[in-house]
Amino acid sequence: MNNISCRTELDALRARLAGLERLHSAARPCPTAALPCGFPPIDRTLPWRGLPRGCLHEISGAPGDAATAGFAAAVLSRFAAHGPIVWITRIRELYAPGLQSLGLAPQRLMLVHIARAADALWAIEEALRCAALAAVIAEIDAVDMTRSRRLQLAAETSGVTAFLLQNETKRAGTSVARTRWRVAALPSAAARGVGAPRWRVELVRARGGATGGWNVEWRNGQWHAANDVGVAADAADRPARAAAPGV
Amino acid sequence: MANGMRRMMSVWLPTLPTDRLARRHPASEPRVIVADDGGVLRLTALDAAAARLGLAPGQTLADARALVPSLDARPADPAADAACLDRLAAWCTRWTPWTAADGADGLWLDITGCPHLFGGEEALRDDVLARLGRLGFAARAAIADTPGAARAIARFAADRQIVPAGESQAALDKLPPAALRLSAATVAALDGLGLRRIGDLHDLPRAGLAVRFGDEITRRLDQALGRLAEPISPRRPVAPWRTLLAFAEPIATPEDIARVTRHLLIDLCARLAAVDLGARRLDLVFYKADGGIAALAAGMSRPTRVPDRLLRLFAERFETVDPGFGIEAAALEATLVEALLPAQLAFASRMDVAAAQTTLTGEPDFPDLAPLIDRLANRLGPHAVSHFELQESHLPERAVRHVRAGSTPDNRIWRVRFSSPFETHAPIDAVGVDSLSRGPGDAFGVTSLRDGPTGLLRMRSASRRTHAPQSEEAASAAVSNHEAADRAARPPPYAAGWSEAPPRPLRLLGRPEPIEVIAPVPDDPPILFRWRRVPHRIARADGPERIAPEWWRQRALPRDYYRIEDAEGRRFWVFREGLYQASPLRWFLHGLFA
Repeated sequence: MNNISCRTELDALRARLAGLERLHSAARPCPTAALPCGFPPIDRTLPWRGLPRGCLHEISGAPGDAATAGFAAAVLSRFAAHGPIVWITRIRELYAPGLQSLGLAPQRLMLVHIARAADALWAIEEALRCAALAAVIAEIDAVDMTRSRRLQLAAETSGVTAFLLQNETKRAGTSVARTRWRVAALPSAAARGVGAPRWRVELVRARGGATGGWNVEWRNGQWHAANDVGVAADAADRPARAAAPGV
Repeated sequence: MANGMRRMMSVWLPTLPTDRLARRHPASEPRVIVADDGGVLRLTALDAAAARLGLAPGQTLADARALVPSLDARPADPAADAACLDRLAAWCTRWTPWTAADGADGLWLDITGCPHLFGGEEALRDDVLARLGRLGFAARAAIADTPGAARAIARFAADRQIVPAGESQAALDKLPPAALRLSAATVAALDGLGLRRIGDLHDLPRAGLAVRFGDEITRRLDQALGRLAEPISPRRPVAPWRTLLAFAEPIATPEDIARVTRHLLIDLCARLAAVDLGARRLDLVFYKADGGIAALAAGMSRPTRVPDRLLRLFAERFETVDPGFGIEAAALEATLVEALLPAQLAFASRMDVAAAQTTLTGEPDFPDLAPLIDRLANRLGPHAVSHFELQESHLPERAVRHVRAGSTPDNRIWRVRFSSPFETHAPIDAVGVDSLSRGPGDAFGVTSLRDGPTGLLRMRSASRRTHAPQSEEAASAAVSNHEAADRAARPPPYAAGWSEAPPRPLRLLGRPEPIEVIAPVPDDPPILFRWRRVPHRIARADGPERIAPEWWRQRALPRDYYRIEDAEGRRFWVFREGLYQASPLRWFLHGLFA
């Protein structure tokens, strides 16, 4: 009996905390307040057992690297079931079959092409205000504190999740993002040729204190742990090339 | 009567060139406009002061200077005069949307149905003349049934400038024949014959006039009297839905402009709602006190008649409107309207995903994104918002194209176009269903089923041979049949590393960028390459995948694509253009894998 009353009190406390943290939006109560990303070690580390919806997330990586966009696309594949996704870019380089292979259905995507940097923040905010969307992902540098707070507020009101893809060298120091990630490319491992994509994913910051780093691989539409370091192919795969000149 | 019940106002600006100059440079001396006529400078236009001193157009400048030594002579600029007249015609749309320029010094305003808005024809004419006078243009105006009659009376009649309907013949009879826009030779000939009034022409037999002068006289006479139609083309297409608001005091602040726009929108939307229409293009025109206009336009992807939503499309641009000395009137026109039934409006306002319906094949039907698309497109440009569409090409850069969002009438934005050329050995990626294009003989009747663990959408090649089922039950039965058949026929799960479809990069560069490459043997992938001055050492490679060019392009070369990975784990898509023996080798980078 004691246990049951304790458990109900704990549940009540948890519900109150969730309400205080405003994980449920005012306009549209999210049926699931957090979406698991499908990789159990990451889901266990996050305090919400998944990526919380209706707030801001930042993913940064090396400039000119497609790994950040790839990781974001794979994560967004879960969000795509709940509504359309808006992807805001400066350069029109996204390729639909590539998105397909990462699990993000291109027909759920609406692309917005920004010519001037000043319009990018406005566009993100407009998209965040539209409660019909599931997520907004934007490639934008250096969002400072006040602006990111505005975006967070817009996301909380409408329940749309925002992902900001940033250049890690140009990122602002502090922001109100609920989770911050850093993604880097890793060599893949396959018997021959290029294998499935692998990334080094680090959770730099999460409200609730968790951090961690994982090597993940996206294969056949699912995450796998990639803890075996990719064997360098030139040692294993090219016995006949030992005498190749010039390398 | 050929012209029905039209009422036409003709405005004559006798001193337009000098008035235009006087707005910028007030004249202290009598001013004339001169033009070069075969080496001699002749007067082409005068202002009132010069006319009072006895000068006339056609005189040489030397003669004029002899008469009036302190003359201010300016060169003629017909282009600027025409532009000024055009601007005035645009500004005169505050009374009626149907305005046009008449020659080099006149305006036509079709005021059929307008005078009651301004208190009658007399009041309208006084208003026009007063405002033009305030702008600095001396003007005379007349109202009659036809453009020809109005023009004649404005220029040649001394009084009674408003001719009631049906009395134009009596009014024209007293005017000289030159009022009928006849050529100088004809006028001189008529004068030589003693015909000095239009009334004299009526008694003459028309056949005789035609023989002597051609059809010019009879045509002009018929046009002036309304027997022959003379349509006037308005400057801009006249929108059938127009609301106008004029102010007692000119306004200038953005807040006032916003409030005025809101009133106009509410009024126009109420009128559209009464007939079940929605607006797709709106033009907002502000008439300024200095004779200019400022215009804003907004386009919507779906017909709308919600005032607040339309106001938000204009809201950011009110600061860009330059009020000048003040805005005196504002007009809102709906230049494109479409049917909008009341039922659709109720559905579109619900943004609740939980209540979204599911479609035939089980995919959720997403609610309307039109308001967001409209806001983004109106500020960023019409091509800024797009989505993907597959195209019928095996060249990777042409396989996908961006389609403007909102240009398709349905929510589903992925349209079936083709099947991949690789379909023979592997199912392709991404097709969707276009439920609106079902019909007998439609090859892609039932598609878009989610595959199992890989998450790829497959196209059922079997469905290409059947025609689309016509009813829902048949469709779902067909779906389940296809699913069952496919499950039976599905090949065993692939070994790790063997992808189902040819791998494609996440980012495809707009143009393939040349790279420097060290490749040991012709058909082998490179060992080292340099891109944007950064060298990459290659650890793994896949390929080649040969993509041949389109057969109708003679000089294009086949490409061998390789998927390569460098020592740090970055993956690239490069290709070698051309066959090894035939031409010099060139390598390019086309895309980046995640």
